[in-house]
Order: sequence, then structure tokens, then C-alpha cells
Amino acid sequence: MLCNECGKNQATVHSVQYINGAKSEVHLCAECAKHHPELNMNLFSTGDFFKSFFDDFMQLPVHSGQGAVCQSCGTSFRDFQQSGLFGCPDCYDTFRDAVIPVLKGAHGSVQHIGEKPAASKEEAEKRRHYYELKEQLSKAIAEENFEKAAELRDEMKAMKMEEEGK
Amino acid sequence: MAMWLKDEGPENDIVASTRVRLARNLAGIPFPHRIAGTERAAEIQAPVRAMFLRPGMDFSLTEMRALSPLERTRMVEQHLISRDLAKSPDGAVLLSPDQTVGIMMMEEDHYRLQCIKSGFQVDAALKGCQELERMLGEKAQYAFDEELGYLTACPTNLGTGLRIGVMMHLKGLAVTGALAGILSSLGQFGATARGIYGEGTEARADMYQISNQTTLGIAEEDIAKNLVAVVREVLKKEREARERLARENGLWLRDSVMRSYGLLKYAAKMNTQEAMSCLSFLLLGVSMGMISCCSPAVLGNLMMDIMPGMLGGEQGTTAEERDVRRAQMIQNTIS
Repeated sequence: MLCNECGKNQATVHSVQYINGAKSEVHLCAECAKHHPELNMNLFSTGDFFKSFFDDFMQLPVHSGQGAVCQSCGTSFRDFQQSGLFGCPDCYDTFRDAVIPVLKGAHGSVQHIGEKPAASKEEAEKRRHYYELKEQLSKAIAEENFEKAAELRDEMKAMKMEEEGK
Repeated sequence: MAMWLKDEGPENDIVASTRVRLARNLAGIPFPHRIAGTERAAEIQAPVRAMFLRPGMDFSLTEMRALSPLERTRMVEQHLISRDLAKSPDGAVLLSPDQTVGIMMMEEDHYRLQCIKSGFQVDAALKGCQELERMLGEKAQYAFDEELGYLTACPTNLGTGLRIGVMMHLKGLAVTGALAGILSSLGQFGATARGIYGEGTEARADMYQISNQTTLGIAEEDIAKNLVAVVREVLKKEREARERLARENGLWLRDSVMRSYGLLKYAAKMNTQEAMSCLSFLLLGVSMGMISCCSPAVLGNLMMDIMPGMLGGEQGTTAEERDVRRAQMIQNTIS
């Protein structure tokens, strides 16, 4: 079957729509289909994630930390907003309060889990296990499996005590 | 041929390569854009030299300033360095002899450690990169924060600093019109996709890199596990699209593949766009067992080798001369 639109290329995109009970069929080649975003549901665009990430930065409410300048490298919050880059590792201390809400939006979490420099593998593994238990706990509570939840909570408590006892 | 693509990796009918990258910075030193052109830039190389340029180690270190613009472009086209590194006057790259592991210095971060494997090999590539990171860590003190993890110039890389990219040939999904929908849904699963070899119509190789979005608040193994699951799903959808294409548009598919093969084999000159489009169809035909002129890896390499920089760049050659050279190179490679 040839493309309904250009009539030249093979139709490889087929769509059947029912609008108010009336059936309409569309058969297009890949090239013509590009001009019909409705057939592709949501048109994909690269970098959307990063763009919205930085848009969030631009729209940050004025925060007390934003007037500050990093003591180590002289970067201001405005410099960061313009380039999207911090100046040095210490900037994260200077601007921590201003940045954390945005990180929450972008990454979903602001507590690092995983590898640490020179930290033993064992420690990283323990931390991972703790967060797994935490997830299982909220699942158990959601499922009203309180017996399981109590068990998980005890295990987490024991891990915490061991950690603090060190 | 790019050395890292020599082996035929798993799922190589669709997955060309797996790349793992870790971003790291030295504690107490401003990020690259703040120390570019200063003496401090040299400090970044010191731990790398101390660890990897010892006797008995086979690594080589190349400084960007020592390369001509054309040599830099070639390294970018071979996926050995990024475009940003090629532009960094203080930039340098450490490479293993087989070019599968390397460290870019003075890119956006002090260090971008990377490991690349052919085909779908996330775990092996992650292990390779982590081993490299551990070795450098013996000489380098990384900037790290208990809450935010490894500190990076751009907050999008905080936490693990880990980016895993799987390069896939999604021709079946592209011609059946399902690609845009699938790619746009990746975000729900913490993944993102971008076209390789240019966006849109300028170079249509139908090669996409699928990578993880989030780097903070999720452990390395979980990032890997999550991305593997996403790629498996895309693989399944691509295979389904190919099967449907063969079933419903078999004659058209065969005609497109063979027509592309004919052009590649006999054309006297060919521009990048046409060559990419034809190579994409031929790769589909080879992967589906319709034609056996060469392996998927050879075609994947050819896509890199016919880029303008590999053919002599903009200097001294006309576009037509490059088009002729491109056609010859293709004919010498496919049989």
C-alpha cells in the first residue's frame, strides 16, 4: 500500500481512529508520518529533561543563600544560574539550601546511596540494604501487612543501633 | 576500524555498544571552567600520570593541544573523546592500548572515566569503569559529600556520577512509526534517549543512545539494573517491529535493503546523509539475515568512518572529493 499523503512511498505507519463512531484509516510512509505528531502520541525531543531542569533553576524563588558568594572560588548564585555549572566542590556547601529543592525535583532524592571513596564495600552494601528495607517497609504498610512491617522495622532499628554504636 | 568495536558483543543485531562513564573531581580544586588556562590545570593530570604512566603500564596520554583540529575531530567521530574535550585547550585523554577504557581530563569535570564494550554488556562495562576509578582513587582524593555523593560541576551528575549509555539501531521502530512514542515514554522509567550522528534529517542512521537520567539517590547496581530492564524492553519492541515489517511489508523491506546495498556497492559518490540512510537499511537487512555481505560490527564502524572528519575534514578537500572517497571506502569494506 502506498502512502495516503505523498502517494510515492510505501506506507509503513498505519492508524485507525474512531471519532463519534465514524472510522477513519490513515496509512502513511515514515517520512510523511513525521508531519503528523498526533500519530506519535508524544513527540520526543532530546534534552527536554535538562532544559526543564535548568528552567527550574531560573525560576527558583529568591533564597537567602542566593546572595552569597562561594568563599573558595568566588562563584555567585547568578553565575551558576547563567552557566548551569558550579565553580568548585565547596560551592555545594555555600548554596546547599538553594539547590536541594531542585535536586529533589530532578533526581527524586537527595541522599546519595552507593559507592563512596575509600569506604569499604561492606559499608556501601549495608547502606543499600537499609534503603531496600525502607522500601519494603512502606510497601508492607501500604499492604497492611503489619506483622512483616514490624519485622522490618526491628531489623532496621538493629542496623541503626549497630551503626551508632561504632 | 575503531578497536573497541572489533568484537561481536551480545545482542549485536540491535545493540552496537555499551558505554559507562563516571564523573569525578579532585577535592579542593575548582572545576575545569574556573581553572582553564591557569597553571592549576596541570595539577589535574598529575594523579593520572602517577598511576597509569608507570613502567609496565601500557596506557598512553594525549594532550589536546598536541593534536591538529582534524586529529581531534577524528577522535570525536571514533567516540574516543567528547566534542567538549576536543574544544578544551587544557584537555587530555588517557587511553588503554585497545581504547576500551580511558580517562578524559579537564572536560566539564576534572575526570570523566569511561569504559566501552561492544554489544549489550552493561555489567562488564560498569566493572571495567569502576576498576579504573578505584585505581585513580589511589592517587587522587575525590571531592565527595555524604549527602550529595561525588561532587560534579553540573548538578545533574551528582551522586554516583554514573552515566550508562547503550547504543541501539532502532530502524524497525523508526519505519513503523512507533519510535517517537517509545522514546518519549522512556522518561517514566528513568531513562532518556538521543540520536547519534546528528538529529532529525541531517544524518539518518537510526542509531540512538539510551541512558539513565538519575544519578543521585540510587546505587550504581540499581542504575544498571534499571537501565538493563529498559533496554530489554526496547529490544523486544524493536524485534517485534522487525517481525511485523517482514510479515506485512516483506517485499518493500527486501526491496529497500537490496536497493540500499546496490547503491552502496556501485555509486561513484555519496554524501553522508545518503550513505547513513543506506547503511541503516543494509544493517537492518544483515541483522535480519536477509543478506550476508558483512557483520553488524563492520557496518557500525563504517558509519563512523564515513563521517567528514575521517575522510579528510573540511580543510583541503571539497565536499565532492569527500563524497567520492566515501563511496570508495564503502565499496572496499562491504562485499
